[in-house]
Amino acid sequence: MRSPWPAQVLALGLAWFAVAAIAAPPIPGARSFSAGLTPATGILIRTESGRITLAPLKPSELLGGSSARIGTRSVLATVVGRSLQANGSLDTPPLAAYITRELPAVWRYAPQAQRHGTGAPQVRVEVRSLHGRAGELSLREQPGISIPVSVRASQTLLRGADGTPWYEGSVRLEIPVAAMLAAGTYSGRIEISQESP
Amino acid sequence: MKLFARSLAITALAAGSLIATQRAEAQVAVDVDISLGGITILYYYDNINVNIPDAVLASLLMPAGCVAGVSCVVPSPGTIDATNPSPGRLNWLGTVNGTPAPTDLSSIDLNLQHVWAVRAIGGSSANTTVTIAGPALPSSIAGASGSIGVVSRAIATGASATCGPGSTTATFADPGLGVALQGSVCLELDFSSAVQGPFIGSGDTGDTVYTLQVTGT
Repeated sequence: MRSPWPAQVLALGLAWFAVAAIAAPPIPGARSFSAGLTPATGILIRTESGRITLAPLKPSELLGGSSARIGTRSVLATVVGRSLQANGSLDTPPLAAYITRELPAVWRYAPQAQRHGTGAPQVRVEVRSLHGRAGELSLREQPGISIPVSVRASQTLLRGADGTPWYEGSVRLEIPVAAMLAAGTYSGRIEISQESP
Repeated sequence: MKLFARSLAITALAAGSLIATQRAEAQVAVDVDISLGGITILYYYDNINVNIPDAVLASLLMPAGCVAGVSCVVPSPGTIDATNPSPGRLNWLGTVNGTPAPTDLSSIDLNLQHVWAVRAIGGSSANTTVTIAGPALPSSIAGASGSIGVVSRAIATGASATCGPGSTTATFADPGLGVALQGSVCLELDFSSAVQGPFIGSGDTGDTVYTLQVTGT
């Protein structure tokens, strides 16, 4: 069976994990990552209990400063058939367009020594649903239902006491409120890839 | 031949490296969850002032052929012979008696369109229920003189609630959070005791004409 990854990538990955497990010098100023690995080179993601659980949605996030109580309305009655009719034209205030979840300093990357000075790494962050679709999370109870999730990633160059460069990245997830049609737990994966220049 | 094989191997290796440069050098992944709990938002007016112009009410009450506040043409009864009840007098008996009768004053529907709306997801099922209630019926809206009675209340989604008993709940599939589902209220009113307005109920004086309750069912 053919591997979905080129042999070179798999080998590189194995070598990286080996180095990470054996060497593991701490990155100055780095946060504690639950994986327990602090690679000399490579990329790590910070988690708690092996997964990231985002804060649940709160109604206050949706309503913002608005209220469900609209106030007073004056309407003019008209005759329709043998009845009176008046149109209240209730104008519902818009909800927040998105809810966002910040994952500050969720990954870090330490380049190999020969790559120091070659510029910032190309790090790609993707969210994938339980079906593997990019940019979505799946409703766990009904995986056929999903919500779109936009990813905004940023990274910062940091340096250790010895001048060793490493990068720390944050991720901002944006979920459009209009797409929220069903309650429940939405699940998927966050994939963080360091790509070749 | 051996040289060719080596060249081929080098070529293959170079091709592999080229592929590698287009792929991730390292990748990490982690499971992620977010919970969207049940959320129900009911939008409502807490005070509705309904203005019923005289002409509107008159046109509702008057039969066809009447001009509100001016005249009402009644069809001629046809030829009726005059009588001679006493010497020197003729009497002609007309039939103007207010017929056809105006609309029943004790049961006039007022449909209040688009006076509530709901956004909802979740709950114990995928449905939401809005219920209309209020003071015991019949209730009344006090006027400067007399009052307007509230005979029944009804509720429905959309623009037209049908008045009458039995329509005090509206159950519908959760509309989601994007577009609010709008609804209407119908009040069956009794104008037979209305003498002089304004008729003020609701929050202005503490009286309540109707209440709405939403539940994520």
